[in-house]
Amino acid sequence: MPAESYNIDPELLAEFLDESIDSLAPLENILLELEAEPTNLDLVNKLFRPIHSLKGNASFFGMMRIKDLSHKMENLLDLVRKDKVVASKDVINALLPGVDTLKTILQRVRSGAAEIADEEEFKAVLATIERAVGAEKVDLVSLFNSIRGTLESVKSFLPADRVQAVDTLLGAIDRFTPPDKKGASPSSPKVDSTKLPVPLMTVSVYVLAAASLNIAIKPMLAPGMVSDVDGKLGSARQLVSPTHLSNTFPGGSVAVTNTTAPGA
Amino acid sequence: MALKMADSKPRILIVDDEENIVKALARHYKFLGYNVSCATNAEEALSLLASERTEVVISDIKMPGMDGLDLLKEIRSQYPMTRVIMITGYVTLDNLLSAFRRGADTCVFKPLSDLVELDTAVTNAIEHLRGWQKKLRELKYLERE
Repeated sequence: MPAESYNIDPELLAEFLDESIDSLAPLENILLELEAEPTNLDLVNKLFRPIHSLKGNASFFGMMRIKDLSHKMENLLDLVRKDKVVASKDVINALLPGVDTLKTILQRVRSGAAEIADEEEFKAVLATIERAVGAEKVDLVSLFNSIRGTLESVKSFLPADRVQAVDTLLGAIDRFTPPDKKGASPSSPKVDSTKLPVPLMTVSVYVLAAASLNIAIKPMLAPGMVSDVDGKLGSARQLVSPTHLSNTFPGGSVAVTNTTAPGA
Repeated sequence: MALKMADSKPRILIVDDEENIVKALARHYKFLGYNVSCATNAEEALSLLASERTEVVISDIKMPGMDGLDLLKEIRSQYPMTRVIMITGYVTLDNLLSAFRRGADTCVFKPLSDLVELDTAVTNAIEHLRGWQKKLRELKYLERE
């Protein structure tokens, strides 16, 4: 049987565009509220819902750019929702132009134009969102760099047996530092950072390093250095969210009886 | 203001790692007047779906790399309104239940000796979409009263 035409009813499309533009209207203010209250999940959900619907509906109406952009925004919001990415200024600054671009595209289609006029500009908006999705990995790298720096700075003050333990710990930190930040090796597998949970070992290495410093190393240092180590540990600690720690060590308590690094 | 749009035929995306099957089905559906896209793996299929509105996907189940059932899952998540018809020569109860569970319209068994069953599945899929459009328009008229 020969195919009959299949078109989206123009009035239906116009209605959809109008409703979608309306649904996006409050999002800018919600994003600004989220900036002030980055841990407020209600705000994240309020952002997620209209973006998620738009993502699902857009391809039915043939708006593939809307689908692409809203899909990426949804991924980022989902990571924020699951506490894998902090609703930082970078995240807000990636989502604001995202919302703005969605509105612009909807309005362009509403006036009968193609979805986008400037391919490069659109790609830049997508790239900013993708960078924000990668923020989780960047945080881990800062965490490791901070711990590595602390360990290296105290090494020369320690007796030989402790230096060996510190070196083992440094080795473990190197092993678990995301490979692309160490200068990507050509053989390293391509990892989709949106699907990368904070690995158990990463958090474990942090806890181990913190415990080693607190229990085995700090008592051997001069008071001035101890406060310096505490400061650095504190800032490293900020990078591991409470959820990551409690997920990794259910029950909330981290019993540290053995302060030597794995394999030491 | 109503929008003006070009008249178009439904688009079918055919996905199978056996190129001769893709070619044969593409020829058949082009002949019937459909717009046709072709892919020989799931990744290629997903990139084609991202670039053009597609009404129906006809996909093989057993393919190297991402298989048809995972493709189906991805389509359900990313393109929830796109209809998916599975075709397979490797029939197990588990495969068939997976296709059903993940929301395939139907599954047509290979060899595709004649295309009557597949044609009917395609026609039904398009009718399903038309039915929803009609429903969406009804809602609009109700709101005006």
